[in-house]
Amino acid sequence: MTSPDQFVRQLVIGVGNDYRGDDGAGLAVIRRIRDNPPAGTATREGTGDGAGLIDAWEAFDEVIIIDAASSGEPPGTVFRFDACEDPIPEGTLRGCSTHAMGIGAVIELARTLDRLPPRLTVYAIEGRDFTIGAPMSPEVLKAVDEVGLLLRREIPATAQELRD
Amino acid sequence: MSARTIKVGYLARVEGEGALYVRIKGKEVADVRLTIFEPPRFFEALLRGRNYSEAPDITARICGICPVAYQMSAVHAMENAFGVTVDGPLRALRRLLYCGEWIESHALHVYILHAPDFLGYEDAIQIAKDHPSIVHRALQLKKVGNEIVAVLGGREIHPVSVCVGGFYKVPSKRELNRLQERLKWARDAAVDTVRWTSTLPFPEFEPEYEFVALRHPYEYPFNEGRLVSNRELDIPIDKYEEHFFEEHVKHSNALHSIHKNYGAYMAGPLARYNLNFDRLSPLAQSAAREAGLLPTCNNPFKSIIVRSVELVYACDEALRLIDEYEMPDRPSVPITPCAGVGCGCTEAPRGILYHRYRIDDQGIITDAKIVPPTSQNQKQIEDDLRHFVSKHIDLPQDKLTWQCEQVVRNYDPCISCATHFLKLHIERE
Repeated sequence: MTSPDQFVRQLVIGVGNDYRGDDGAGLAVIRRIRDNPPAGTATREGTGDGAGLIDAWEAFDEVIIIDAASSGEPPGTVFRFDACEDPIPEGTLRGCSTHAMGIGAVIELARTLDRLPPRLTVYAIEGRDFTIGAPMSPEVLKAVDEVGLLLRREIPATAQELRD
Repeated sequence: MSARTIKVGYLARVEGEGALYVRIKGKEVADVRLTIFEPPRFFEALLRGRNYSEAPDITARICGICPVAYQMSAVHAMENAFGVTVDGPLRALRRLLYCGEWIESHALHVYILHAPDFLGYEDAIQIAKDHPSIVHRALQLKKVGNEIVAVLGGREIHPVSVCVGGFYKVPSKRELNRLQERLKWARDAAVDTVRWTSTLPFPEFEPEYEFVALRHPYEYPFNEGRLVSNRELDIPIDKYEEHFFEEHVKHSNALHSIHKNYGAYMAGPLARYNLNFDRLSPLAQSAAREAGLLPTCNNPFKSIIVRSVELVYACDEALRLIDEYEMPDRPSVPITPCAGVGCGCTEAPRGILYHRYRIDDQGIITDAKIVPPTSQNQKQIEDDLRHFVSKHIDLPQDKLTWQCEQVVRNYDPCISCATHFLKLHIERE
């Protein structure tokens, strides 16, 4: 736990493929907040190399990952997972590169190697259309805005929690 | 007559989307199909009408694990068309960039994609539970490769600094020197990797192959050389299309490559190793010998050891290049486009990657041909499966299925490249 005066390091990572319609949801959230992120928060767009994330989050107290979901729920549904507590349900997340490891697998690998950050939250936005070249669905665009606002409220609150 | 089918509808631990189907009638293999259902990607078409300078950046998007290979084959092809030679420190930087890509690609494949097969694990997460230090080593090795690409290329995936004629920006000596300590660690870790992979269990399986790779007068090949094989092929790369052709088969979205009058052939680490053992660094050669390898190896399962030997070489070569590096006066040589045809053939981690472009007098691409190593290996993969299944036909279904998937993964296939993912289906009748 950080001390009251200690700077809390928080990182938000968006993953996905913005050439595949709603698969770009995670990246869209990052692009909403990166020019004016919550104080002290770093943002990053996932490169598609999941294994590299384990090194990327090493210096941070809290990590938030944003990805698209393909679970069968209504498009625009926002899921929130405490990834330090439980594995992400299989088949939920889209963020995967078939060469490197998918996000779910990366998180489980980090858990096995005892390399999860102190706090790891995953937000996943249910998509409707992942076709190459498709525009983002209106429901997902709305959810992207909502998650952006949510992060602006939650990140400072969590930072305070980690200091207390 | 008894018959059975082995079907794997979606292959795991390969890049891209493919499936495998084997039909056995009695004691004979009746049919083998590596089905690539990854959709065609039409890069050769979308390059038409683009400026020559865009080829490295567009073709890099064909693959996220070997973008450097596409960039190198593209820039060499364009420079070939314009009569330009890139030499000295810029040439050295290109080799160094390729070292970075080989390190990250080979580390990923050896430990995360291929090793689970030999150890009976479903994936690397399962290995990590029993052997966390091994997986930790893999991730650190991959990271070293990514760091080289990031320093030279501007970022880890789809580098942005490569251009026809050289680079948009070159690093200082100090920036490269910062990589040395981690590279020395990586070189030791690579030697440990050779030792570790040599202890894995290998099936007895040594078919006759035609190996095809580049051969250079004095270097283990990355960017330059003649195309050679162990069956008398020895040609300049601009004769590639006189000796190799592509055909479309119904069950695959990726074209199959054939060596005219010969048939299937193998590209990749085993081919490079067999045709260039004498060009490896002394450390890489001694690591290979210590692992029990001879200068030639015909067992495709032992490609995991050979990839590890190439890991040693890439680390060794990277350290040598950094040690000798002097920052050039300018990051690239001048280019004057002209009408013509140019070819480039470089050694991607998975084997020879051939590009050919026709350019008009404005520097616009009017025609493009790209032949990735995985499409060149497809026929050989099917031959290996036919041969392997016929030798092990009495194995129980689940064990035979597992080993057939392993046969495919011996080639570290990049199916997304091959289409300009594995389910194995074995039917027994």
